[in-house]
Amino acid sequence: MIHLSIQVRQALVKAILPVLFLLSFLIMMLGLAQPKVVENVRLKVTDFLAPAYALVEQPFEKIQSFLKELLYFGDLTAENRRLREENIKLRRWYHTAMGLAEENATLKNQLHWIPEPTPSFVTARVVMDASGIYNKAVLVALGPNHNVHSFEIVLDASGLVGRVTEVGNRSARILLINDNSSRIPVVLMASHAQAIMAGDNSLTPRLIFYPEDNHPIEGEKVTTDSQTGALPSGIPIGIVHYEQPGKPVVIPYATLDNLTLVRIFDYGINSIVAPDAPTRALPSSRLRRGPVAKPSLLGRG
Amino acid sequence: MNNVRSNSSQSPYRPSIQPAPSYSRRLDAFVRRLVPMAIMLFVVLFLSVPIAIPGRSEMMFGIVMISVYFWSIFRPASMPAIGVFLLGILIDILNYTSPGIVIFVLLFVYGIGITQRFRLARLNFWMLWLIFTLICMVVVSLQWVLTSIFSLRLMPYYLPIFEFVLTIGFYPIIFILLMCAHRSIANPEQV
Repeated sequence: MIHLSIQVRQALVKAILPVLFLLSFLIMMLGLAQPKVVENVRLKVTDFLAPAYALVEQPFEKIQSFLKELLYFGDLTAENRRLREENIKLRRWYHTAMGLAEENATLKNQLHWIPEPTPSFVTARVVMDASGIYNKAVLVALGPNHNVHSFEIVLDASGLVGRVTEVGNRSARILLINDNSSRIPVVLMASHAQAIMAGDNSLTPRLIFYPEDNHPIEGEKVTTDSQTGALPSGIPIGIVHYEQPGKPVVIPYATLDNLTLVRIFDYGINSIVAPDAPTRALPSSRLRRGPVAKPSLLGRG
Repeated sequence: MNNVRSNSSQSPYRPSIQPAPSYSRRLDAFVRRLVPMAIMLFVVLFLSVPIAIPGRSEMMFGIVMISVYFWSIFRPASMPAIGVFLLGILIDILNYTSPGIVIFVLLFVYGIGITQRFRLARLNFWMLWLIFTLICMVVVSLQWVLTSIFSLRLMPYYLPIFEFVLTIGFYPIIFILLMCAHRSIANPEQV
């Protein structure tokens, strides 16, 4: 233990707050200059915390489901009646679906349809809500020898949840579709229009850049669009709803505020690299096969 | 004389000879000193569990902000600057925001609390709430501005407003709870 005089100690006590302010400023700059370093530190910490959170999370889930059951307990008869009616309706739909599936298989067989590859997926438990005030993300716990990569697509039981952005040894971070920085190309099923679904940290992402002459229809289904090559097409996202006239939003099928289990799909999108636009000037002429355009033709110095 | 005696039974700075505190007594006081930081650590870790609480992240930050304000005024020995700094780092790591902003605004609240504590500790509950409202307004706008700068995009304007309203609304409940803790479990003088 170093013995300091009272004056020095008082000076140190006074200096600590400005020093810490400076340090926080430096951390801000570090986050700007070296985002990879910050990312690595975060992954190390969350890798360490994820198994612990997985332990803590389970009893919470039990308590929550118990409370939910208590709420259902009040009107069991009404609930039963509703379920019986729904069951009859679903049985009818089951037979319709089976018939359609059979018919679909026959038609595909007649057309010599090339079967689409079935994507492999892993199911993971959401252990931590990594959302701040200005971002929406969750962490999932993974086994030590997992095969999850970033940019894989995440679904819950009913719809698109988001994409994997960072992968550690025991955890992965998933950026949700309602995050402020999320922009997803979508197709509207009834109006056949394309649009961008933009997250704004609320539970209902907005629809933007839809055609002026073909507005989204209330209640129509929204699925992903594969045009940019970032996502496979046809993944269900949600339905269109107008909160105000002229402001369509998407109500996601996924319960984004209470995720427990998610499926992480490997569509093999990473292997597909989008081709460059033919008119795009490449920085190096070595990569080109044909005649090289002069810089003056490209409108640069 | 009478006056002195009546004070001496209450005040911890009793000018008299006392026996050295026993080992268990010192351990007890030490643990009590750690209580404020432990409460905040618990709040931060607990509110990261994915349970369906609306406004969870806003609530977490609000509670932490109120706690830093409260303890820096009423028990600064239990809330060192370095502790606030580490807590900010933990929130930053768990939340995947631009790093450093949470640390900066928490230190801002702490700095006000610690430098003005002799003035603030004399004020009543309503004045403390009013001053906290002003601090919260500054903090929330600062956070919005910094986040917008660091992500190079204007953040939605309603997020800081929601955060502000939630934090101010939560203040009385958290204040009462912290005051109870301050007088009981977080008080090292208590035997």
